[in-house]
Amino acid sequence: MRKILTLLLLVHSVPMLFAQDNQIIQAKKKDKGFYLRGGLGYAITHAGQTSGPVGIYSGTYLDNSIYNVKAASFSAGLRGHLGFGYMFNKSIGVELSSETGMVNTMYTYSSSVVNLSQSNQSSTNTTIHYKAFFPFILSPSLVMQTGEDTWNIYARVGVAIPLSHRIDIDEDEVVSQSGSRNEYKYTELLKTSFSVGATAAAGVSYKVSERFKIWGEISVLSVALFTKELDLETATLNGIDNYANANRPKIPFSLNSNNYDANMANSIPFSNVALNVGVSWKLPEMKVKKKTKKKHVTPREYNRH
Amino acid sequence: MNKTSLALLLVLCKVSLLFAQTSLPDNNSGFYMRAGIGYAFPQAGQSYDPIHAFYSGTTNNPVSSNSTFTFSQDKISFSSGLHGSLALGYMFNKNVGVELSADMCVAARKYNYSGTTYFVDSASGIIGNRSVDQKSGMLTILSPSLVMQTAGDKWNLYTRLGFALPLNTDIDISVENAFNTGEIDIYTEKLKSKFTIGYNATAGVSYKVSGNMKVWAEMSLLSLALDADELDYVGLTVNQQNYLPQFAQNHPTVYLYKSSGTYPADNRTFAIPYSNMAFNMGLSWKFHKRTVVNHVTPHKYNRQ
Repeated sequence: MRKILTLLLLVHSVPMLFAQDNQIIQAKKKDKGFYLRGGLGYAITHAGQTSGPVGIYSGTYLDNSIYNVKAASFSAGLRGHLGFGYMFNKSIGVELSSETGMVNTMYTYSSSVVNLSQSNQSSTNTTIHYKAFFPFILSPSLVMQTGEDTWNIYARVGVAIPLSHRIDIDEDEVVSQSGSRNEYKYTELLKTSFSVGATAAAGVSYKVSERFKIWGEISVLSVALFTKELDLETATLNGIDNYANANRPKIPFSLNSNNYDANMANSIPFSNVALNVGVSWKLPEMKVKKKTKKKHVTPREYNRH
Repeated sequence: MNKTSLALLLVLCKVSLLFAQTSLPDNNSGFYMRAGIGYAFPQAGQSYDPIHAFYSGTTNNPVSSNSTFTFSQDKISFSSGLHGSLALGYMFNKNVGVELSADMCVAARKYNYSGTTYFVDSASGIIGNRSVDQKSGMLTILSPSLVMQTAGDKWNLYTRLGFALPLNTDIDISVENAFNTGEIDIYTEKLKSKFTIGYNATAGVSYKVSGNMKVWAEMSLLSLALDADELDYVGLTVNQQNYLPQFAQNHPTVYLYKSSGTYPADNRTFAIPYSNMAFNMGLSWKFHKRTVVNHVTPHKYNRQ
């Protein structure tokens, strides 16, 4: 009886020891896998600049002396985020994410210049609007997290690849002179050269269910692009098409004068700091079905059964 | 086998299961020090200097109708160059910690703009060339950061994200104007900037060399631009003779503003580029944890 009891005890204990290892292996498997992430955020100007190739981005300028200027960054505004990632374990993974400008900040510069010389009394009032056209940035990143069960702190560091980075410019110039008034309107497209930046984020996520998490983070985008070409799209004078009389409908920019007739390139600010929130969903694991070989039974064997 | 042996066997089985459940004691928390060197390259740089034309590059003004204006400009950042870093950190557990680091620009990169026939006066026939050297002083960035790591036994991946607090951000400028009359003017200027908080992010890998020592290598990003605040003239020589007192009377400090207020001001401010991407490497050392030793009194000792 004692020997049986001893045996029973050993038989009871050993599988439990193996059960511990099995639990750890299962837990590690749960941490791996693909996930999707989506969210919204608001970005504000960071490392902004006040003026560019066509003048001041944002502010007012009166009579060549009185001014008020603000820093601008063309990735500021409401942003949408989508990310697709893979966690190798509970701590480390990789992610490919995109940031799209959904509602971009418009910058307005207005100036008023009065010429009071006796021979030529005139005033010129100019208003220029600058706005990025749906900027889109792709970011392959390294992801690290604490991997806790409910609350999780994470960090993301990667490269920022801007794929859409043009700027729309609307200019309205009213010239009043000796009783006459002329209104010139221009719409221009500022193209920028491609350049790689960097992005980073730190945030916290909360596990709502087995697969769903909600997250909140602060992110930084650091990128500045250089001007490439300024294209005149439309030009009107007092509401009548005046494109044919426009001077230089296409102005190229370059870092050097090898490109004949090019203007000096300037950097365009695209850096931002943003507050983002969203949800993430851990994708179900794909189970691979193992093919089993069917055993063929010969008529002779079949009859035996 | 007697009852005592059976009981011992039971206890042994249960205790071994308990040890199987509990994790290894966490000896990854604690203070550490980190030191290293690195080289930073301009990132999100700029080329145009509103005061002196270019930060770095060349221009060639035409002196006759047969020649054209030529130029060449480089993207720059005033935090590029050789850096040294020191840091003190604390790991709360094997994955998360905080760190305060100081990154010093020990050999900042000097930028030169050279303007050939920068001054052209057709009436008098005077032509002058300009050469401008700009370099930041001992720029120091203080960074309180969040640290996250994989905490592998030997190899360890880590990231670090935090704020960048810039200190000692003055830029030293030397402007030399050389004219075809033989006159050479050298202006020495100092450009000061307003304080602004930036951000930094780092990803790297470390290798445990010994119990407390690690070697590490990383790539870091600094995202920072400062608004120019004032331009001070600290020296002027004309053909090696000091002319600063006479010049300073008519040309006081140039203040730079975002808003001119109710009176006309000298100049509009502009953003000075300080962002960089750097490669760094160094050593880190984990401090020993103090352990409390239980003292056994002689009375208790004798009983055993």
